[in-house]
Amino acid sequence: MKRRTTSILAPPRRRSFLKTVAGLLCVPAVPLIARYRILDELTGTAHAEDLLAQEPTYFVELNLRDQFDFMHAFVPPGIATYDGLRRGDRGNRCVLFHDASALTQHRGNVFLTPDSQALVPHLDQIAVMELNEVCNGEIHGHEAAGPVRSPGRQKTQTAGKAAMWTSEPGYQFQGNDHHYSSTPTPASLHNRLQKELTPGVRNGVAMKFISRNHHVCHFGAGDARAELDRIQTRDTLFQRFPDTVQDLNALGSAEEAALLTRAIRRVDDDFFDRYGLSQAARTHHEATLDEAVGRLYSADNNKVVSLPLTPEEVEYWSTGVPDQVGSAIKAQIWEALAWTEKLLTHGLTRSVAIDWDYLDVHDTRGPEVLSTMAQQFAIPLARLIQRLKDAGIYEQTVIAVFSADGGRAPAANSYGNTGKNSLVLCGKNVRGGYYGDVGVAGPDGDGHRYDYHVPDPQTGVLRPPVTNNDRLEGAYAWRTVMKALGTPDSTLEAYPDVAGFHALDFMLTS
Amino acid sequence: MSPLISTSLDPCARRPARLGARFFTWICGLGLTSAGCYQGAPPPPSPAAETTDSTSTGPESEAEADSGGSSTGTPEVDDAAPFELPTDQVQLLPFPARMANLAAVAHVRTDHPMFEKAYELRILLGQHDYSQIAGPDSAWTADRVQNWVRAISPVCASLEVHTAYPDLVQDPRALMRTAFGREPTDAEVEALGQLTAAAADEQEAFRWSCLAVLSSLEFVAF
Repeated sequence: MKRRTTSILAPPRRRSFLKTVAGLLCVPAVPLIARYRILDELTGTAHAEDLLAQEPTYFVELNLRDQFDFMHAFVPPGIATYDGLRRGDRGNRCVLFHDASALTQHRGNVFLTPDSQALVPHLDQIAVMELNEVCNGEIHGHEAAGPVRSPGRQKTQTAGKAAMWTSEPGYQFQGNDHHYSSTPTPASLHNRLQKELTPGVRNGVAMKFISRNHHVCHFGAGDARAELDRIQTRDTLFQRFPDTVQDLNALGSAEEAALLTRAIRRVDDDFFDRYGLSQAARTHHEATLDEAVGRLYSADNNKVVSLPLTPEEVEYWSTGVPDQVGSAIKAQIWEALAWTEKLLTHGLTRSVAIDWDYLDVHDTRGPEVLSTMAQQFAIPLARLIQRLKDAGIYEQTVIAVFSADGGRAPAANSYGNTGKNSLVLCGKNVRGGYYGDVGVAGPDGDGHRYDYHVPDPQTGVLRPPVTNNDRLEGAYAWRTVMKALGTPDSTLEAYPDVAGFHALDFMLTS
Repeated sequence: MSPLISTSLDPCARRPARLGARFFTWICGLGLTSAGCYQGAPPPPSPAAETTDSTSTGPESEAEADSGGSSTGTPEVDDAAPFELPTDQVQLLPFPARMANLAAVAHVRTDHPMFEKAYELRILLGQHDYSQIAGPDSAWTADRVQNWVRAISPVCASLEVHTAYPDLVQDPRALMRTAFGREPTDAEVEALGQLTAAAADEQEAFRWSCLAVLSSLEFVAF
């Protein structure tokens, strides 16, 4: 039997040695397979897996409103191969404006259009599943919460569920709704877990760059450590991460930070009873002060990276990407992804959420709408993936793209409370492919009726088609995202609305 | 110009102006009472036995889709308790209110140079800027604690505050009284005493005391 190298060391030295090795192997430049082999040589397979599970992961959550349609990015096989498709920009006609000869077919039932060819080099780790539970917002499905991002969210408050919108600045009901939940949204949960894994890692951010007064809720499920820092403008992003050596430390030492927060905690002690605030508010505040200790002083506070893009970076990221439609532009999507790449590859944070939108389009959706959406999504995403690969951290990264408030049916006049609700999953542990299907059920006026082939959550085999809104519960997709990140099942089972569900393992490699 | 509103300074003419102003105020009050402060935004539903949500299909109404119209299905309102303050989370005072309070504590105007850092960080500190679709943010997060302490450090270092509270280290009640709008409790005073006991010198003790009082919930939140 092969003797593991570390077995010759005494236990205390072995532990110290392994910690040192694990730290060195966390350097992004070391490929994952090399890390596994080195650890396997030193420790044996089981221990190698345990150590790798303690590796940091990076997560990008891209939330696309309003009822984003990926038809020109990933064409459902049933639509791509249908002979006699009635295409058009209104009524029940299908909004696929490239004919079959322009589509390219790839392994895993993936059909791309000319608008999404940039994704070809990365398809082996891009999984698409659009048959998720549809949204239930009052205005034809629009909502800021979503059943996939927070399974079990509901419109009434029951025991254990909290309001999801209270941490979203300037939140209004119109187009967003009020939902309550006990399930954290993915980036929020990842944020908390990474800070537990690596104390001192900087808090994640949510770039709230939707051009209208619409929102996406980022929900920590009552855990203050999970809450992302909301960034509402590009200027505040640059302030949050300055490009000069500014002293972001509010205090002079970690000891001073601890003393001050301890004093504030004592002064604040009576506040909650005096003003009738709940125990949850007290707990949340105490967690906030705990975290503030590391913010008031930290050596990492002065880590500098230049977030504003150079002309070369603008050229790289923006070429071929249509501008955001609308009048109140906060940032282009390629800018948001460029800043995300810098934040992740420079170790400034590990969890980034981006809220972005294509305007809400009704009644008629022409080729320019679908092509613009696809190009805005596919081209910057491909560039982000490439940059993460170049930096050596793609194998530790998961990118999850959500049609945040529902998607559309293939019909031009469809809304987001019917049809598709999409998840595009990229990166670590992801098995590329298009899962589920959308097809043509028959003629309907000048267009078609469409049907939906929901995959069996156990096997991925397509169920008999339906024309109603029966879809996979959002908990399946949620657990798939978290499993791709390597989150232990024991952590996820703590949330009642996802307990008992499992990941869609056919979308994952492990 | 509206006949209801007159700016004349003539004493006789002022009577119509006062009546006009009074009528205008009444109309505004009636409008606010009937329309509510949040147009088109029904209050969150009160806890209910219903746990299932209906899923609607198709458009509710094109007119509602992107307009400022109110949504359908307004939940019932309990007349006995129509308005509930949020109790599950600390809510910061609006940024302008915090700045006004800071100015009052320091006995200066809100445009004093000591507040330059605070205004520079205003969006990070929760101020709104609707020209950039940045809404007010009332969450008291660790990030906001960090930036608030950065913002008020020049205030605590200022000559004006040192002059106003020369005995802060020995007796913080004067600052706390002004900041809190009430007499501080013994526990609050003792908390500061324990803090300053660990300080290296009088200057550090003063700074810490000032930062602690002006970063406490009693000062920044409601």
